[in-house]
Amino acid sequence: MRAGAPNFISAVMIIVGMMGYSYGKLNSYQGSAFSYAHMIQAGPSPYLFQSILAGPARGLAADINVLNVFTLYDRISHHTIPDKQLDIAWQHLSTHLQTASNFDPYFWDTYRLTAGLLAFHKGSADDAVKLMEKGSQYRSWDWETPFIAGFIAHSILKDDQLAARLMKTSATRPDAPSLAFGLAARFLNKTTGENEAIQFLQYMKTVLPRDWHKAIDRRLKRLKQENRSDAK
Amino acid sequence: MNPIWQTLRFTVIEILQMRAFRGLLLIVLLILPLAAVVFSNLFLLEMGKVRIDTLAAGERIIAALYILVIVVSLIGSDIARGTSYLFLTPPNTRRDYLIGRFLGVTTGLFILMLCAALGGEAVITLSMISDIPTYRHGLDYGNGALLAMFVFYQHISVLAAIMFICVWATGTAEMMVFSFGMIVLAWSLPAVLQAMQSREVLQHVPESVAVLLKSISYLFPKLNGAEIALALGHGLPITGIIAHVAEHSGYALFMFGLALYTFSKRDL
Repeated sequence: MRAGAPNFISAVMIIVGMMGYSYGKLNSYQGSAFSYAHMIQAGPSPYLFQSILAGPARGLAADINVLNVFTLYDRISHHTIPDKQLDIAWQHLSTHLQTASNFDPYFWDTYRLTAGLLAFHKGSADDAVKLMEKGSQYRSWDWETPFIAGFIAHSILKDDQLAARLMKTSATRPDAPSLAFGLAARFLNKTTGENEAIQFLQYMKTVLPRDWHKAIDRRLKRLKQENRSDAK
Repeated sequence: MNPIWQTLRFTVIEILQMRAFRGLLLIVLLILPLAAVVFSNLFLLEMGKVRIDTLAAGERIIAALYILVIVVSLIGSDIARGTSYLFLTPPNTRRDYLIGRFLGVTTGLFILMLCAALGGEAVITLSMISDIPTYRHGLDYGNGALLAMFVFYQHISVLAAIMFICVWATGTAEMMVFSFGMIVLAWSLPAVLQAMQSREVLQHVPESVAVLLKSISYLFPKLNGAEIALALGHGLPITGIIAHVAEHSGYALFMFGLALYTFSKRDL
């Protein structure tokens, strides 16, 4: 045998081995509904089990759960999951988001996906708002999460008391837009009454810079006018 | 020359000559930062945080591999095959040998984590230059280096425990099995205890079990590696660092003290 022959044979064996493995992998799950259905039945691993595996890599465990949400939503939206299993798939999606939030409660992607996907699926808005409320407790610098949660509570859950609480949280966060305290005042006015709404706006006036005072005064005036016309 | 310094120097040279160690250096300098950048691009917003997560997980795995592949095989061959006799010629004492070896393997881990710090800082610099503020929220220069140094510090106590296992066990296989068990324990137990004490889990656990969990968790540092990595990823303040450092120093000293005592009594 020539001197270079063993190297050549090894290289051929490695390449053929890799080709065989790749062929096997590519043809095992060729988009068949059965494999997805099987996967949906299995569901996400329990949080405790994931914690054992993740150990100190909690951030990465949260990231992987978020990636699972992408995968699951892709399968739901491309109808590769049997219709009768769609509800279970949505439940699993919610579980993945909750697990991601348990591992890393500060991760913004989790709450963005919650607002974008879970909130607008029938029957999941309640879970979405709860999850986002939890997120807003941890993300103390973020006005967006409680703002969106408040909006969902008002528009889908029709719970203005919850919406007012979330909007109030949002309005007191740094860089919150005037819309947040305007909506907070409106929801407060609707649920707990005019006094609470006025007190809230007056409090906002004391904590916000002078540039905001005109806008708050306008809202106070409008609120009083609205209440007067309602009383008539 | 001081025998401890001599053993330390010899250990570091021995480690640097190992191909496995050079492979680990290559991973922390090139492959891990690259993996962090590629993986983070799969996400929507907080990519910087995902990069820190990947670095944190990767560095801990690399540190565990270093301990299992390099430290256990080095100390294992010394004790099981009798290579330690080469070091234990007068005036060198067993104590000098063990301290020198421990400082040597700790220096090896420090070199590895120094390279990880460089890789981490390269990733952070890339994020700071190329990403918009939303993507790099909480990220700052120095977080990559700080992360690597925390991983290094936390593994000194694991190294001390591994030294104890190696001088106590009777053969290479036993050393490998117990060391692997120790690494798994250090990896999982603090995280499991933290997960089991979360509000969601405690709701379904009887009170006696909750008290037991709380008592066990007193044995471990209050601030664990996962919390440090999360804080660095999100730019949050890390509280309780002094207590954390003190607790880890305590474990390291206690375990290494046990190792010294056991080694002075065992037959070689």
